[in-house]
Amino acid sequence: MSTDRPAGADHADHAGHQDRLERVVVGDVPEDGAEVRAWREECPACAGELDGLTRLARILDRLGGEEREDVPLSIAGAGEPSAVSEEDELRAAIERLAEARAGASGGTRRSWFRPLVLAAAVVIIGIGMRAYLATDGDGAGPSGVRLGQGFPMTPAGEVAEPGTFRWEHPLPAAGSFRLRVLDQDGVEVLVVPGLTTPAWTPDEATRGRLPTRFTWEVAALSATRDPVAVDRREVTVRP
Amino acid sequence: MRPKLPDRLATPTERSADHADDLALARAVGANDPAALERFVQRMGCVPRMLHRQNERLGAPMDGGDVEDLVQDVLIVIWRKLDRFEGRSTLETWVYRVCRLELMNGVRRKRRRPTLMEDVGESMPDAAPEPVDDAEAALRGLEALGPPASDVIRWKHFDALTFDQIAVRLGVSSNTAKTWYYRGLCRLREQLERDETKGATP
Repeated sequence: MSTDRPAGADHADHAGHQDRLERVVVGDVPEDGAEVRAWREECPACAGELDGLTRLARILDRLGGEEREDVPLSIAGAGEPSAVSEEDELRAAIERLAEARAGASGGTRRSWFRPLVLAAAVVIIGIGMRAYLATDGDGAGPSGVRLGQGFPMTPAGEVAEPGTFRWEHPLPAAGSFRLRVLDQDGVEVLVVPGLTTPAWTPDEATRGRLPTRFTWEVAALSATRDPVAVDRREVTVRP
Repeated sequence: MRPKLPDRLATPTERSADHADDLALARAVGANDPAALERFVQRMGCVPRMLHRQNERLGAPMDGGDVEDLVQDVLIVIWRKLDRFEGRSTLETWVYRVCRLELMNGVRRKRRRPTLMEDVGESMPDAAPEPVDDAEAALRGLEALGPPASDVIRWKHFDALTFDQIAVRLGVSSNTAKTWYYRGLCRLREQLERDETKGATP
């Protein structure tokens, strides 16, 4: 592939234009200066080439800016946590993948790839289909989290409209809160781990996935992820 | 006379020890080191957040359930590609880029997914995947470009390094760094134009 001349333009008669193009693209010559404006009029092919390259550079600038903003925030866990970010699930998925690889060690890459994919599929199905009953539904577990008016509540205990889950409890040292939503059968439909503030607002898509009757539970977890306080409340969302 | 683009630049280890720890972690995970796996799990906690943020940036083409499914897909892709991580960036930055491309794949699959009323035969083209947008085309083009050109472009736009800083990394003059960047950008544009032409061909 030639890299000595730009694509899409016949620069055979434009000795020196390559150097000029390069100086503009790397920022040595201002793109909106008089020199470049005159050059654009003189050579539409170069102008087109310059437009293409600067457009590509702007796309890359935007992507780079997003990456520089998103990566630190994602590492820090800032912003609204994901309903699927439960570390246990990630751990389970990765451990299964590691087990699959270890079980197939000694084979070629091709030979362990197949069990790896199969194991991964099992993990996906397992996570997607997992529905386990709450073990502390009888209230025997630790309590002490005071659930607030997470959703605007009617006197009958109905939720008038979707809102924000709120609760009151000091954040355990180096710990976190975990919010769970269970359906009428006690099946977990949503988990939001890693919260560091006593409130969480579901987005529209998540609200749409909530059952009309559900129980929400908040656990205050220690640094070792052991529950130090748990409470739960049953609500009905008005249709 | 223009400086010639080298066949290879210094490897990340030769160039900088900045990400040597991450590279060591990836290698240890590849060897199923239990302590490394534990650290790796903790580091991968960023994946769902990255996917959600990127999805929001794209105007949320995927709903919550789609993104949830995608987390698992991304983990598998990361796992399969981990031996290709070379420490050219932090592990999280590398993961972020994997997330981005997998999210694009997910969006494309969703767009192609036939509705119940559609004829499946007409809605599942066999053609090569077309990029969701210019950004995806640029990212995939950058991947295909490969080092060292992709490194220079990434350092400039993604790490926001100046040409002087890039030159120091490369051990060359600033002018040489500029020329390598310019040529890399021209190659990337040529590549995108070729892909675009290919995509437009019936």
